[in-house]
Amino acid sequence: MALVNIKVNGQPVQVEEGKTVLEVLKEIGIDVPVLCYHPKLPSIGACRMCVVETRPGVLQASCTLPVSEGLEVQTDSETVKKARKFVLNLIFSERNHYCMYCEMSGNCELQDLGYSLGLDHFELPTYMTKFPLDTTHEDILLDHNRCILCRRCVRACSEIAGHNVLGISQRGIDSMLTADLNVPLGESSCVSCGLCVQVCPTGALTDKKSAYLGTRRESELVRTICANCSVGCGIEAYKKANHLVQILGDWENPINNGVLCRLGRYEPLSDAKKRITQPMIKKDGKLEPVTWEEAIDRVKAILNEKETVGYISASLPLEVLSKFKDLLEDNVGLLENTSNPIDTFGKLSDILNSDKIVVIGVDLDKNFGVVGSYVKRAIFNSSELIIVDDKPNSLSKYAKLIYQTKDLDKAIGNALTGNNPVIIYSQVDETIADSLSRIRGKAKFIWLAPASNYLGAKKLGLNGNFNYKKNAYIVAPYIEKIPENLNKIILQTSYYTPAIEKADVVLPSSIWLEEEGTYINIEGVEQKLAKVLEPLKGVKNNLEILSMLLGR
Amino acid sequence: MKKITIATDWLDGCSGCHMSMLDMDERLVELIKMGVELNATPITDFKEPTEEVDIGILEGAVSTNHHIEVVKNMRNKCKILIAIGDCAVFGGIVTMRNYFSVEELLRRGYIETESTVDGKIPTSPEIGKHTKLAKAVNQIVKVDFYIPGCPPRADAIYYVLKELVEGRKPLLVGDLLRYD
Ligand code: SF4
Ligand code: SF4
Ligand code: SF4
Ligand code: FES
Repeated sequence: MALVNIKVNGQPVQVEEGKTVLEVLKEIGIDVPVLCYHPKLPSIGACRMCVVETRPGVLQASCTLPVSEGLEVQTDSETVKKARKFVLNLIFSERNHYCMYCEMSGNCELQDLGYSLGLDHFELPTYMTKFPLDTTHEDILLDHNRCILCRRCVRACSEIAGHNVLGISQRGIDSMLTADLNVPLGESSCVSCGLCVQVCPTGALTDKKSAYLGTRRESELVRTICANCSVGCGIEAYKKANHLVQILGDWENPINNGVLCRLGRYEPLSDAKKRITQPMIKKDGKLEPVTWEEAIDRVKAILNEKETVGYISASLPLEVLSKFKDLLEDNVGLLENTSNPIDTFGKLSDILNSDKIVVIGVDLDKNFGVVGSYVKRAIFNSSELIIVDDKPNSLSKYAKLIYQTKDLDKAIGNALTGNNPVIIYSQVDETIADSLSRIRGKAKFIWLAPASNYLGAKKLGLNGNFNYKKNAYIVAPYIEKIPENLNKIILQTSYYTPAIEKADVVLPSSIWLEEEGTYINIEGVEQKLAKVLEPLKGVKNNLEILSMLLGR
Repeated sequence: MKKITIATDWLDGCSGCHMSMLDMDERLVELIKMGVELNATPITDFKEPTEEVDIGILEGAVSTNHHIEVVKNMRNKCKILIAIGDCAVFGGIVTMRNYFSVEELLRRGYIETESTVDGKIPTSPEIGKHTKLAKAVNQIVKVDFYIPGCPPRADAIYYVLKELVEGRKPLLVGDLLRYD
C-alpha cells in the first residue's frame, strides 16, 4: 500500500493511502467524536460531528475525507471544538433528548458525547414536536422522538444484512425513518434480525425484550455462539445476575459478521417455555418430584439391565455426545438423523461470490435467517436466485426463477450454466438426494443441517444405526416425540412438553445458554460455546449428569 | 470571614434537587463554616430573598406566569444564578406536557386521572396560570452555571458551591456531569 505524507496538528505523519482521515486519526490515538460513523458500516458523513479543520476556517467531515499527499488537519483547534459543540447542540435541540426518561440513558452514544464535550445545558431551544412512537413490532421499539437521522440503521439493514427494509422519507426537518413504503415496522417486510437496533447510537431503536433489564455497561459480556441452528453465528451475550439482558451479533465472527436472525437475537430473551427444575420418577403412572440421588439410582438400575439404547439430539456439544456414547457403549442413535449425499461443505462466503444460487425447499426468512441475509446480499451483487419450493417462499420476490420440486433438475441445470453456482438445501428426500448426487463437485453446496452440532455428531460417528433394545435413554433439550414401543424411558431434557409424560425418569438438564463445549457448524468450522448463564436451580448440565452416571 | 449569601427556590419541579442539596449532609455544615448563609429557601422561614444575595439557585422548569416572576425576581436579586436539575437546565421531564395544550393538560390532571372523582379545574387567582410551553430557565433569564441531573448528584452541587465560595469557576466533568 502506498504511503502519503500528511500533517496532524502540525506533526508530520506517514499514512496509508486509501484510508479516511478518521481511520488514520484513530490509528494514531486521536479521539474524534462520531455519531453517524460506525466502523462496520459504509460512511456517509451525515452528522458533521467528526469535523476537522483542513485550512483555517475550513471544516471537513473526517469520516468521509480520504487522506491525500500534503493534507494538513487540525483536530483540536478552537474552530473544531466550537463546530462540534454546535453540531451537538443542534442534534439535542431537534426531537426529544430528555435523557431522564429515556430507556437508553447510560447506554447512548449521543449522551456520551454530551458528557465528553461538556454539554451542561442546551444553547438552542428544543423543537417541541411530538413524533410517533411505533410499537407495532414484536421485538423492536421505534421511538422517532429519539432518532437523530444518522441512518446507521438504514445502512445496516440494507448494506450489511441485505434486507432493505429501512429508508429515510422526506427531506430536511421533515426527514423520517421509514419501513418499506411508510408502513408500521410490525407490518413491514422486516425479518426481525435486529441489526438496526445493534447499530442505533441512541434510544430510537431498542430491543423490547431488553428494556429496563439494565444497560450493557453494567452487564457482563460473554462472547459465544448461537446454538439455535447449524449456522453457528457468533453472539455477544450480556447478562446481569444470571439473567440475559441482551444479545448482539459478534462483528468479529467471520460466519455472520455481526448479523443474526430473530431466533438468535430475540428467541433466547422471549423464551417462555416452562423449564423442568426437578428430577422426576414415575410412581403409580404419574411423574413425581424426587431428589437427584434417587433419580440417578433409578437410572443406574435401568442401565444395569443392559437393555438400553441411547437417543441423543445433535444440538448438544461434542463433549456431551461423546460422553453419552461412552455411557451406552456406542449403542446410540441420533434423533435428527437424516442422509445427505454431499460431503463437501461450502462456505457461506461462497454465496457472496456466486452468480447463481439455488435454494431448495427452505424459506430463509423463517429459518436459517443469516443464510437468507447472505443470499439477499448476493442478489444485490447481481447473483441470480432460483427457488425450488412447492410452498410459498418469502424469498420468491427476489427470485429470477421459481420451480416446483418435480422440476428440480431443470433448476439445477440452469444453475450449472453459471460460473460459480451455489446450492442451498436443508431437508433431503430421495429425489433431492438423487439429483444432488449426480452433480457432486460441480457446484458449491451449503447444507442446512437439521441440528446445531449435526456435523459434530457425524464426526463422532453418530447416525441412525443402533441395536434395538427395549429401554431407551433420550437426551434432548426439547422433546416433542418419543420413539414408539419402548419399555422404560429415561429422559434428560429441559422443557415440559406433553411427550415427557411417557418417561419413567426425567432428569432436568440445562439449555445451551447454560452449557459449554464444542460445535461444528455447516461449514465444518469448529467453535466453542461458552457458558452464558448458570443452570437454573435444580437443573444440572448434561455433562455433569452423564458423569454422575459414569461414576466419575 | 466573608459572608456568602445563597437563596434557592423551586419552580415546576419535584423538589428532588432540593433533596439532593440536603444530601450534601455534613458538607452543608462545612459550607456554612466557610461563610455560606442561607437567606431564603422553600424549606426555611423566608421564601423569597430579603436582600441582594451572592448566589441564587433555581430548581424546576418555568411553567406558569408565577414562575416567570420568581425567575426574574431571583435574577434581579442575585449576582450568580445557578440552574440545578434537568428541569431548570433543559426543561426536563416537565416538557412532556408541551406535547399537549394547556386545556388538555388541566383536564387530564384535575378531571380525568383514574383516581379522581368529580374533579374540578381550580380557578383561584392565587394559582399561577400555565404558559403554553414549559421552558428551561435560560430561556427566560441569563443563567451563569448549570448543574444538570435528575436529580443532580449532591457531589456536583457541593463541588459547584465550593468552587464558587473559594472564588473559582466550576466546570462539571466526569461523574459530576450527568443527565439522569
Ligand atoms: S437517546 Fe440518548 S441522548 Fe436522547 S434521551 Fe435517550 S439517552 Fe438521552
Ligand atoms: S433510528 Fe437510530 S440508527 Fe436509525 S437513523 Fe435514527 S438514530 Fe440513527
Ligand atoms: S442463523 Fe442460526 S445460528 Fe445464526 S442467529 Fe439464526 S439461529 Fe442462531
Ligand atoms: S461521524 Fe463523520 S459525519 Fe457523522
